[in-house]
Amino acid sequence: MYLASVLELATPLVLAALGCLLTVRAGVDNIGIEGMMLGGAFAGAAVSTTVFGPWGGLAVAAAAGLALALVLAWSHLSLGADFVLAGIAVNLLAAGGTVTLLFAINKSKGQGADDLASDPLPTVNLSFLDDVPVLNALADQSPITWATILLAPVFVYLYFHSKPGIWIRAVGGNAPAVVEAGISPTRVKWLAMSLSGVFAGIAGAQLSLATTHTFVRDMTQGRGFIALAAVYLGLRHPVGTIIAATAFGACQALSTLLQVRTTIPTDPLAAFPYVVTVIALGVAGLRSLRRRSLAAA
Amino acid sequence: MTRPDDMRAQAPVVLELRDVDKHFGPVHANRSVSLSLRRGSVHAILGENGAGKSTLMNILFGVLTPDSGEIRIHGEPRTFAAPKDAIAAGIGMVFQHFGLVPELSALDNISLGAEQTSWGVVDRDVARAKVEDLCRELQVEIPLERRVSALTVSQQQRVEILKALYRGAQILILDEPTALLAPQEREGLFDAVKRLQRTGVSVLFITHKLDEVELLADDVTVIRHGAVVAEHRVGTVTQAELVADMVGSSTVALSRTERVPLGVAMAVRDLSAVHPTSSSLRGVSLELRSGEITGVVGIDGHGHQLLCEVLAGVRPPAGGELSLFGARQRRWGRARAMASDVAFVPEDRLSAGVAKHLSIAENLVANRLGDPRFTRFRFMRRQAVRRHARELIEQFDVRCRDELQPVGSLSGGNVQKVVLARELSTSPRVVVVCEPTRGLDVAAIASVHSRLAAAADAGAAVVLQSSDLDEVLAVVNRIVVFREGEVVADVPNGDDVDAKVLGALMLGARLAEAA
Amino acid sequence: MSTVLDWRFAARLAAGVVGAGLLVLALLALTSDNVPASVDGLLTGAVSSDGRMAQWLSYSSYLMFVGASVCLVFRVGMFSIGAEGQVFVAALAAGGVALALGPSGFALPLAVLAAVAGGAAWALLPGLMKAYLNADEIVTTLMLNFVATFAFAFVIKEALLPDGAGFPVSDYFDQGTWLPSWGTIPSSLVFAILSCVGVSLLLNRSRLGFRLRMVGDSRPFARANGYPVRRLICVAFVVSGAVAGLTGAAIAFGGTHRLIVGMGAGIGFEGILVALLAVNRPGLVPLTALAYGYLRTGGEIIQITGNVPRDVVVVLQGVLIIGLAALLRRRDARSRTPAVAAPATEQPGTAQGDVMEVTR
Repeated sequence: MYLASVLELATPLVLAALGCLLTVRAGVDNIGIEGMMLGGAFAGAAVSTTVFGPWGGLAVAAAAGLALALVLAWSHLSLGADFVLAGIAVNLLAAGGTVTLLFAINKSKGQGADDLASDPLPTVNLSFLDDVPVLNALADQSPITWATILLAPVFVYLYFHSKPGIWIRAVGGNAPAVVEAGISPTRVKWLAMSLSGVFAGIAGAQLSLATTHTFVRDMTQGRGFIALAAVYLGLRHPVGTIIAATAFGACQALSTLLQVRTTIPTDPLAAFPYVVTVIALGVAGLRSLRRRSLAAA
Repeated sequence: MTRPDDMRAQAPVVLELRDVDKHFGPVHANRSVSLSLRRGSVHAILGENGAGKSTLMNILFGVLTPDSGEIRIHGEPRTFAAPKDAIAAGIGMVFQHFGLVPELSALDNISLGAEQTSWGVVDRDVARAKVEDLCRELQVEIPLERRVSALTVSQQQRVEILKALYRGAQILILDEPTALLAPQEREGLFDAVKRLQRTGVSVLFITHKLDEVELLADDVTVIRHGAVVAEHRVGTVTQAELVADMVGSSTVALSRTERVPLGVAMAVRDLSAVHPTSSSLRGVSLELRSGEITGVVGIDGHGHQLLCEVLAGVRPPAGGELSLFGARQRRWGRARAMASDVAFVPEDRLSAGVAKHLSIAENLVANRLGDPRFTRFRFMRRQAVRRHARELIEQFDVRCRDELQPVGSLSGGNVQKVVLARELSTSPRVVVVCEPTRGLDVAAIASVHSRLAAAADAGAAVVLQSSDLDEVLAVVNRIVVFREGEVVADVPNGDDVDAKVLGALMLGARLAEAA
Repeated sequence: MSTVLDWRFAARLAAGVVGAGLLVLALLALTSDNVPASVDGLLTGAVSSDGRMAQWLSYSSYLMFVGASVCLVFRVGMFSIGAEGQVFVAALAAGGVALALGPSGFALPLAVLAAVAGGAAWALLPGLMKAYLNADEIVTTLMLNFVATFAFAFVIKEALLPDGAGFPVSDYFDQGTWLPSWGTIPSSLVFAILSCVGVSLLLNRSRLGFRLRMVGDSRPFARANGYPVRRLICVAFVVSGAVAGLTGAAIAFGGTHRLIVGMGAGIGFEGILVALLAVNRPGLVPLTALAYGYLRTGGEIIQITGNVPRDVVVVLQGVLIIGLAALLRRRDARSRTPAVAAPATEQPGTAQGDVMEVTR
């Protein structure tokens, strides 16, 4: 079921990448997205086994991502910390905080293990698709995947046609113009970062409540950075970003498949998204260089 | 029956400034500026670069707040804490460098911040209908769906104007609107402004171009050194009188002395160069002689600034020859220029003139790292660097705590002293100086002028680029006038040359007519 | 006036330290059975035995190398966060050379050279991309960190894995390459301090460093003084990569004595913290590295003895970074002291400033 696994693994990447896209377009490279995902994954797993259940876990995952995003926004926009440093700090807070809390929870349960079982979200079971080729990939996906598939076009539409969408793109494009139009760029950045936190939190929930049924320390394993890479590889366009993130998800799925079925090493495949993105940045640089030299001539 | 002109003269005042004052640190940018704009009129604000026009406009648009004084709209005092307050009061601003988002469509830029939405989705049809009405009224055509980055400069400007009108602006401020336009585009802009005027929109028109005042404006207020120096009805005043108002009667002490030039230090032949925001240099041939101060003047962006950059080696020539003491230079760059004793005082003092977070001492040796006095085995000799700094601080009278103080914490005049100390103490053979006294007080200006004079007296070929014609007339021995990237006059500075003559030359008159 | 500001700065700093301390206390209270013992472990664990002291000092030495490397690029105004990847590439290069040469007198020096070359090469790429293509160094270095991480794992698993190894490691290096210790003092500490002094001398005393600092302060100024700005940017990346490369060698020959997948992970980011604590002054890095390494080692120790996760210290790290970055930026904005804080990439709230065309 390679296709099914592509969808499953691409979901968190697409969600996080779309969140990242908003901040990047508002002028902030959101390195903290990794931590926001991790926070979401942990919060989702931790809450899913309580009375609130997996759906409560999903909500709290989004809230946890949002909370970390607010820390980032506050450090950067209110305290004036550089966003790279603030992003690194958010990642550290999430990495350290989730493990510390994991210990605390497991200790109260008398466990010493490094992971936390979650109560997963029910899958959307469409058994009538089981025998349909290609479409059978959709037969047993998580509600988060379904939401991502269905809402991605809505996102793209709103990105181009809603006020926040236009304002976010305007802030990154030419902040003074936004001020002249009577909009506060700082507020728009707060909004973009908050949204990215919610997206990342839900992406984290997909990891701990759908793809796996547990939370493990550092379980995001760089997925946030892959999401950031997808934004740049997708030329900071929502459709491009979705395609790039899905392609990276396909990479991960292929990697899983190879690990299970063969002894072919998977590390080059894992490095692939990053290599492609560096090359893409180089090519973009070359192109703008050539354009400038043409303009000067 | 009254003529429309007279009607405008009696139209109600829509915008009034009373005694607006603004300081930036020690710099008095606006001194008690008052002016009133009547409904449906075009009011030009004329002044040289740095006269305080932009500060005034930023105050009007809520970007800056005045230290004192009052803004009245329709007679009511208003305070603008942010541009949105000014927008709400019906003021629209078209900045010199357009405030548009290149990635967004023209339509989205126009309606930015004032979008109509239904169900969270921006209703572009409403905006489009409104903008198309405005376009019809102004008789302009804009591809509204196209991204701004794909529009021409004049289309972008139309978009800016539409953006202001879309928000219901009744008072439009145009900041140097023709700076980036071709002549035909300028006609189009003026037609549009005249149509606007007929609809009752009032226009404040910032410019330093005299002909535009005559073509477009009803009234003109002249600003110099931050203060209003004259107000006229257009038609009752000649260009010559305006030039006299603009550049003033000499407030700069005359430090010009007769000098007998020595040989040719630097020469360019058929030089060309390009720059993104300036006229390209075309076929410029010029000789700079040792022991003489040469002033290069022109209207902003007409190539004289670019020439200085090329001479100093910070911008590469595109063609032609450049020779130094008879030797043709093939690979001309700043490093080569420095090795050939060409000193450079850049226009942008705080970013290109000094490293403002670093100490005075370090700044003073930035251009002489090859000097064995200051380096040994590729290491800095710190005691020598500090001693050197103390000497220069003494010699150039830099007011500071000590030589380790960061340059950025000095006053403007002292920053410039540091720059001059660094550049002139190497006994350069050629000195290229751009806008050396912009923003300085009288005492600091006098000190800069005496340094330049001393350099010339010591045998250097000094090139002074300044937008302050008084300064040029007071200091230089010879004046080269640029227009549209070409040399239009090269005259000795004598009693027959004054600001009026230079102004006329800069505007394109021939030498014979000007004199 | 400046004394008032300094006083305010000190007060904020003190408040920050107290706040961070309270946060750690809260986290310990959440996880530990015996909070006082955990606090004690955190605060004195690093000196509680010779072995732990050696652990503290050698970990601090790694931090010093990275810290010095980070100071160097930051002072040139480049926001490279690529030390992490440079460490990996360097360790791999050094380990490869050491394993290939086996027992040989030349093995250690050649391996260290390989580490330096590896780190420098891995830094040169983003340096070139920044200088000549204007590619955002934040993103390129971040991406290259991961490329290095996976390359490291790949090479070990595919080429260096000894038969029968249970987890991805290489063979041990020849004992001749192991860095010696004197009592509890590892020799890497000496080299690390020398590196910090070296970077400090380079930046503050040498002609090259002078030029680099000028580039960091204002590129137009550097250009107006005839400096080859692009080349200097590349040089800054290369030298910092070389110093980061020494970290890789120090960990490999002073710590693990073989290559292990995951060794030194996170050190690049801890180096940023150490550099930040030292306000980007390499001369102060040994002190901040020792201080941070002390806490970090304490964290390792309470994990073993008190069953408290060492990650408590990671949270502290995050809080410290935010606090320091904010404090330094504020101090810089209020007084006009040198910008020793992190280089400005994009400042929030500059939009207004951009609109203003402040003339005289």
